[in-house]
Amino acid sequence: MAEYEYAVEMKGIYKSFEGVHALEDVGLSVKPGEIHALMGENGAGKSTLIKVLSGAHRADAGEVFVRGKKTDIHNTRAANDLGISVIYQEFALVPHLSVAENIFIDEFGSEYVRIDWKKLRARAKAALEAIGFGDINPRIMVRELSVAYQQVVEICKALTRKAEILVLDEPTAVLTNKEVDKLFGLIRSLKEQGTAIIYVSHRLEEIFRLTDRITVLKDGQYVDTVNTADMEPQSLVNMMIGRDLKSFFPERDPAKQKIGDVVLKVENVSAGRMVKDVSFELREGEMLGLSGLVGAGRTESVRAILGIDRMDGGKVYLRGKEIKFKSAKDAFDNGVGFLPEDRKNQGVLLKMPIKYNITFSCIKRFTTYFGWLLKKAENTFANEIKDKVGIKTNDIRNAVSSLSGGNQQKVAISRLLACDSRILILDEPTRGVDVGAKMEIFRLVNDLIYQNFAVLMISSEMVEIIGMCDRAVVFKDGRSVGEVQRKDLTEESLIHYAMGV
Amino acid sequence: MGVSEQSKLPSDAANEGSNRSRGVVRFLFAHNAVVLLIVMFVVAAIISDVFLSTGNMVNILRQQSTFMLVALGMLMVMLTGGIDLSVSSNVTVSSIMVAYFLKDLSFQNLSWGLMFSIFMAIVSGLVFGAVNGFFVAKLNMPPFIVTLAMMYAGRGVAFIITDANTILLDQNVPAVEALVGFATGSAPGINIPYPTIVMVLIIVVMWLVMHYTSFGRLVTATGSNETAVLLAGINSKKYKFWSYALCGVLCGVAGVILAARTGSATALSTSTSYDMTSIAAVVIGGASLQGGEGNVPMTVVGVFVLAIIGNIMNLVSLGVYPQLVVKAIIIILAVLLKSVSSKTA
Repeated sequence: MAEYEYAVEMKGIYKSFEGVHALEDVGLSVKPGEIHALMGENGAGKSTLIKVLSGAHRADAGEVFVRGKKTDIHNTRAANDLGISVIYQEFALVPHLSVAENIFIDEFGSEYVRIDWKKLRARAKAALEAIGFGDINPRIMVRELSVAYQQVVEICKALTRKAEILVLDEPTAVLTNKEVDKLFGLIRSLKEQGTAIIYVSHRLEEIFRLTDRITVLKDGQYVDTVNTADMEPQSLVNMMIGRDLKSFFPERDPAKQKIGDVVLKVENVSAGRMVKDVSFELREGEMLGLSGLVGAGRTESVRAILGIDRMDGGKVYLRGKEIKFKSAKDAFDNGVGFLPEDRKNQGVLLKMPIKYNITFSCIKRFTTYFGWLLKKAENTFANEIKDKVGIKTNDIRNAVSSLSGGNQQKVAISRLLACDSRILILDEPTRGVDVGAKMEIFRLVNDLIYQNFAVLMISSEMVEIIGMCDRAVVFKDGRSVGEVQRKDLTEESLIHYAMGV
Repeated sequence: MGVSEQSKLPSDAANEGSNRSRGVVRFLFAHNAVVLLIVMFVVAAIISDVFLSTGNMVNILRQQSTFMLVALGMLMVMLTGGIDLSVSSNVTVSSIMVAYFLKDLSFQNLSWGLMFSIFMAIVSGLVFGAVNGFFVAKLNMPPFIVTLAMMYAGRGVAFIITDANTILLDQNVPAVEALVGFATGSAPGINIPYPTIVMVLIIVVMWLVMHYTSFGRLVTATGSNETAVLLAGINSKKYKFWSYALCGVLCGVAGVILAARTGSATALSTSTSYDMTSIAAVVIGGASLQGGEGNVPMTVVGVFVLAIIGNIMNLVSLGVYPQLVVKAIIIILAVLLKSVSSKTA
């Protein structure tokens, strides 16, 4: 029956975003009835590759063969028609519709004039039973299901569309151990039925338990494909790391840096599902990195500590005094500035002028009684800070949206500086920023360190942590699992804690 | 870098002329309501001889005072990304408060009764707006629903207080005479109605508030991106609350003028379309329903665009119903122009 060896074969895939290479000559081949792991660090290009396969992105170059035939996957519809289904971390289910409706949602557009509810539910029931989850009631609203069951519904939906190639992107990130076991059972039975499964995950333990072969990517490039049985965890990790540290980080002059007292101390903080036990200390004149894999709970911890989200347990000390921030405003009033990771939606006011963006959070500095604005002083100040930070624009009255990503980020950082926050928390400050602007941002951070600011940086790029930080705290599954000093900062040491190898 | 900056200078000088004309075109596209207003004005002047007469002009200014105040309040609310559907009810309740205090509570016989009644009407507007603000800002409820509910509540209150009757003030009482004289009279010597003077004053104050105070800045910022404003350490709820509350105050003032103009107050005024007219004016003035965009001068232009349309249609005695259709066309046209211009920019 098989005149083809591979269910999917991707060859020589190239993809770049705004001049940044996300994928360079990457390949992936998956046999029918195989569970194939796709591995790599944050930003290695796994998601991009998956999106090319699912038709969400178009490759700049390269070929995709499905069941031996060369195909052109130009949109997600085409991928579906070829039997390719991707289950992302964020589910594509409609929470307010029933399970049955969600499973057959793509049929509603064309095939029904009148919905035969009885038949629909019966079919949903049959489909769920076929994968061993007959206990899910097709009438129930999706939002009432647990996350794990939602995932099952998603898989069921994919299978009813005759998915022969199933991609699971970090499917266990939010599941409990028991739920993971159940999911793995389902994946294995699909494998026996001949489905080709691509499994994207950071979790080594799962990779070794579940998969047959592993393809490793690094910095958007293909490293190797290996049989899982031939590998040790350590050798796999070695494949993922070990790149040359490009020297694009500005040198920090130790003579100018004075590391002082602890200004922010966090003890055993827990919050929600994502943050279980987090402790760290931040000192004056120091840059501390929070490292870890995406989804390890770093942003969530910081948001809880700053009072943006609810903190369930633990203690926070500011300059030795216990404190519980009630809101971002409270934290801000206490001199803690926060740069959110999602610049466009949380960091800047895109449509408003640059100068307003710089001054708005400390507008009181530029007002007299009754809130009367001192526009001249504001202008002078905004221009000064623009020059200091190096925002490239010819007029600070322009909207922020007219700037490049890097310059937008500089505007967001300027806002923190304008307010004289002495403790800065930067969440992924260089995301979506080109290399030149990255360098400038880090040079700016160095200047702040010399002025005795305390800087906490969350970064998913290990090279950044290694290149910039005095110390790093590594997160894994909502816990701060290790601390690495500057002299020991290497990818190995960070990965050691982040993956638990 | 240095090279590119140097090479920019001569070309800038050469392009200055065309840049300027392009700048004018861009300005007109972005402020298409100004063009619309001028076109309306010219067309109106051509169609009707009466249009440019002093009497008609004064009439437009007098009539628009209430709509203007409500539109300015609406602007503030819409800048935060909200909407206030309860303005008609608020204006009506405030106008009833004036009449109720003067007549039913006999404040018209006291020397300070008039001032007190006016004061109470404005307080009523404030309270009304503050209730909106409380639910929207503090309890995070959707403005559309909250203000819709308040629209009904206000209507109910208006009918309860008046017992569904019109409160007719006795114009022979000095207090009422002063009130009505204020609305119908003009400032001595300059022939400008008092309500118009109030309107101009409030426009100026609002312009100063929105452009020269931190309050105006942060109201706009809140509408532009509330999450960012919140994470930047600003209490955005405060600004949302006060934009509704101040919108209420402006409705209160509008209510006083309304009562003064007719020397009466009736719950039937709740069906006057202050809500839709003011929303339309603000939108014609280039504001965005998502918030963060819009300003006082353009809102003033928006109000007059609608005013002149209404006026000219009355002058050529177009029926009331066709008038609505024409108004609708103008509103759609203005918003269409805006979406076209924001795409090309």
